[in-house]
Amino acid sequence: MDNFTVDVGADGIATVTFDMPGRSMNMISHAVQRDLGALADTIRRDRRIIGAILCSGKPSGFCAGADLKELQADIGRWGAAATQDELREALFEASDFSGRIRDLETAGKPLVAVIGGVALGGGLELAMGCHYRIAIDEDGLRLGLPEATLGLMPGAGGTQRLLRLAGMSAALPYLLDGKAMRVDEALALGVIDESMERGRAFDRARQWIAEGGRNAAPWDEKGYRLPGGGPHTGAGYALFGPAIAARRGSERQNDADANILKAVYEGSQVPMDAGLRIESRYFFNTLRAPAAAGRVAAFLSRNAKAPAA
Amino acid sequence: MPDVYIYDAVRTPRGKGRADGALHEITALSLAAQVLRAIRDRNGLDTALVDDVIMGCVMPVGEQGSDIARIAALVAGYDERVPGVQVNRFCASGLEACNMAAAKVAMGEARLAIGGGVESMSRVALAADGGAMMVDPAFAFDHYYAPQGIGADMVATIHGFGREDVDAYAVESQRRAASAWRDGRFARSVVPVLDQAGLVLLDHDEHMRPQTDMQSLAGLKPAFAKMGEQGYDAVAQARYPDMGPINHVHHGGNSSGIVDGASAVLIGSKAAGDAAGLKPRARILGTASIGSDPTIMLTGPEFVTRKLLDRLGMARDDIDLFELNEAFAAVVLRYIQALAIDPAKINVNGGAIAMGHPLGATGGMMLGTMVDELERSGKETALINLCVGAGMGTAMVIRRV
Repeated sequence: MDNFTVDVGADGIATVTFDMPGRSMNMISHAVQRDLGALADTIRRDRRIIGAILCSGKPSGFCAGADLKELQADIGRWGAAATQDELREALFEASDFSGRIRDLETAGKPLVAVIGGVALGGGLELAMGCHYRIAIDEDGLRLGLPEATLGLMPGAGGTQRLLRLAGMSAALPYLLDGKAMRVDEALALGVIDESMERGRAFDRARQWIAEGGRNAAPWDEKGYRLPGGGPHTGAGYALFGPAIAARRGSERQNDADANILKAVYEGSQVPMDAGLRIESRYFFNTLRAPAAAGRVAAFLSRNAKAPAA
Repeated sequence: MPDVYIYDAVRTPRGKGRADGALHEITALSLAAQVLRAIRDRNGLDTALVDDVIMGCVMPVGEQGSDIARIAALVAGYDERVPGVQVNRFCASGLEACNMAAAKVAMGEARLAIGGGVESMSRVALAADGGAMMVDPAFAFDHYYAPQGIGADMVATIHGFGREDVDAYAVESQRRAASAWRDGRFARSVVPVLDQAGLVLLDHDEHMRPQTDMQSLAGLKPAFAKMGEQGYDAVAQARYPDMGPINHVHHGGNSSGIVDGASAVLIGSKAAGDAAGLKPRARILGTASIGSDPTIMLTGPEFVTRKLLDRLGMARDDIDLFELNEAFAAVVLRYIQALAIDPAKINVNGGAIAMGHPLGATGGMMLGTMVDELERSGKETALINLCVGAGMGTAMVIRRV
């Protein structure tokens, strides 16, 4: 594990620090995805560990999301897949990050994410895979799933976890518009559970684990109900139909609209693992659409010219 | 294949589809069973000769679920060998049931078959069956779904019918329906609905407002403007970029009424009719359905008419009477405009704006109305036609015997 260090304290609480060597900002690279698999394995198997705190070693924040340079190459490869075998292999790759987050979520021990600074896209998806999320309330805290602003969509549980935390109608603007979440919004959505100054965050995380915490997500507990209900309810018809219409008729459309809406609609009616598989398929379709590669390339070239943030 | 005949047609009167409507305390099953009993009893029918009972029902859930056609046949006391099937082609379900019955007779599967339908809109609400159309993005987003009220206002906007045009049509529908009732033109088809004790509960169409005039309609607010603001106007405009702003002209007074009712039409071959001692009233010349753009949704009638008349080698002027369901006034006005139909030949006894549209039952009711009217007027041919959700149209052409 090059990108994470695991420090198990005498209390059995592991502090997992995300710190990519040689980078100013954590990103979700292929290597990080491999490490996350190993990390989940460690957390599950190491008997000393009763729970873990996932945090960043970077002053810039938690994680800025996908490594778009790698993703650009992935898109080229996945876009070329044509046979059933090639498609299966490509979809397997495209689902990898989502699967590793799910491994952490289902590792059986309470996980707390302590997130400060930038926690965007795949970074926030990783945090949402933890069972409790504490935001460090400082300037520069940036929370959101901005994939749609690039014509892409969240592909590692973002559509499914935000849906299950906040309900269909509340989740949609953040998914479809990539709207940034203010701290109060993130609290209301359930994306974060608490917000506090840096000095208290780790103590609070330890306390939450020590007091028993929660080692499973609400949607994996028996009796879980989607907030606000699914689309096939009176309220669902009243809300989701017009929500689709608002998007269809809007001038602010983007290439991923249909795929995001489909992931939410279909995902709302099945258990989490099925929802994640459905999301992965629409994520894959989004990236295979002709426009996706160009959008990623344009973003990379725009960022290369702009001064570092 | 044998010729297919209509031997008889009955319908209930239509009760207001509300908790204070006369038929609200009567189950949908009872409505369906009552028309099945009526068509049996007045024809002295041996029901063992009926090879299928096909009933339209658009909200087949709750008490209208689990194949109400078969259950109604049993409750009506039909021979237990008579099967039943419930069908749904949205607003044309009742006519589709008759089209299917005719096809079964033509195919030889059925000697006699009953088509028709039932809908208790006061007991099983609109949209109670849910469905993918409104909320699954695979349809709603990719195919620009808008509710049919928006479609009706789109028809008016695109084809140039203003508020006065649609209101004038509604006033005329009320006038014709009232006059037809006064003349006793529905007397042969309408069988009163009996209550649980066997007393007559309703013997007339309860939804009618014969006093309707332009002034009373002018006070009604457009029903679908708010729905348009919710985002559906924008969907329609995205699909029809040249349309411009939608003129919301439809309201409760120029749209079909929400009512309860049932219908049954006895259809069969000549040989089966002879064997049962029945006299044919009309021959079914042909049937058809079609699909068209689902966003505007309501323009199918023109296309299904062209399709069916072409297939039958007939022209518009070969049809003496047109009966097009008055789902919304603009649907009929557009049909008249598109085919240049003489307004005196269409919906001569009024329609669903005046009398109501009990979704699954309406097509069978309209067919019965035309059989009666051909006999009354001595005219020869009629085309029965309904606009259908998701852009479809369903039609039948009959000739008086």
